[in-house]
Amino acid sequence: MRPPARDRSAGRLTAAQRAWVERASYVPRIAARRVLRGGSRVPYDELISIGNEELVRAAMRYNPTIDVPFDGFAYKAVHFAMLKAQHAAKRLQGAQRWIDAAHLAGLDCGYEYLERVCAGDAGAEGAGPGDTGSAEESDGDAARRLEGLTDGLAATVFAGIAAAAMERRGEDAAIARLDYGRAMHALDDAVGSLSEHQELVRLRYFERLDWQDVARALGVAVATAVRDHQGAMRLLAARLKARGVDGAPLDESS
Amino acid sequence: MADESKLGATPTGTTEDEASFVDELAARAVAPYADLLPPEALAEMEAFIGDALATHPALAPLVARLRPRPPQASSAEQPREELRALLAQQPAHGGKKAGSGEDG
Repeated sequence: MRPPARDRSAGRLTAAQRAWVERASYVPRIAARRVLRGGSRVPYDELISIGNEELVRAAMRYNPTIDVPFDGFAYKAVHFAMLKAQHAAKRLQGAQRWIDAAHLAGLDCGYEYLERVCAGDAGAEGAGPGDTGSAEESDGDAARRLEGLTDGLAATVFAGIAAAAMERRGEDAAIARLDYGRAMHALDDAVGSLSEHQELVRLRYFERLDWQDVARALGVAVATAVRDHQGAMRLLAARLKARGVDGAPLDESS
Repeated sequence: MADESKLGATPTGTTEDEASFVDELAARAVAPYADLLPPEALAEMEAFIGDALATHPALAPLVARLRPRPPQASSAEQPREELRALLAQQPAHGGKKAGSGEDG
């Protein structure tokens, strides 16, 4: 079990930030109860510890001029951190069925995408934590940015699931073809239609290379590969959205 | 110390209209994959995207900013009972302010 970390980080907070954290100290308990109601694999105490750490991070990011009270702002961040820990615990426990493993692989890709977005690697369309858009950004532009991020996230999860299904061998491969054949076919088609970053997507999803190896194979810096990946996912999302509902299952002989 | 009970059944900062906006966005995001993935996979994907939209530090603030808000009732639309209650809270002697232009 991890020790409570709030005190360790609290020294970096300003007096105002410490006051927000103090007032919102109940937030991790509420979020933990909510996660536990959903059937958590992470013990309550550990959820609280994760929540306390995130509460401090939220205080560092919080902009009091936004029209949201700190506890509301922090609740969401704390809840997300707990959900992510829950996902990691599932991952550690391992999946009993390969289908569950494929879904977990898709969500892994999704969490990684979100991490990059949060770190500001998403390029012009990215959003930093707590970023509601600049004063100059219109609601229309903010809506397009949110749609781009959401579509990119959906395409990333989809690609992760379909690519994991593609990896199946032997008897599982036949089942994968039956249930995920359309997804595999659509992903292959969409990747094939990308005018740029096609190789990057193939290396990352079909070859399952980590970012270091993807970057090495492409002869670029890791940061470049990661940034290009965000753009590729948005392009992929656009291709998949434009595809309509005509995706055909894979040919048995393929 | 903040009052924990104020959260009730609804998480802080998440209003009902925000929750339904999140559901709508998540459903829209997975719609292109509805014919490609088995329902189980699609449901997991939709739930994950919904969670991310509602809670992720980079997405949730955008959602909160863009969620549709119910039109605010103008003062003219305020129910009479509420107006009466407000008036009852005013001090009996309104306290004419100097230079306020109020002549009584």
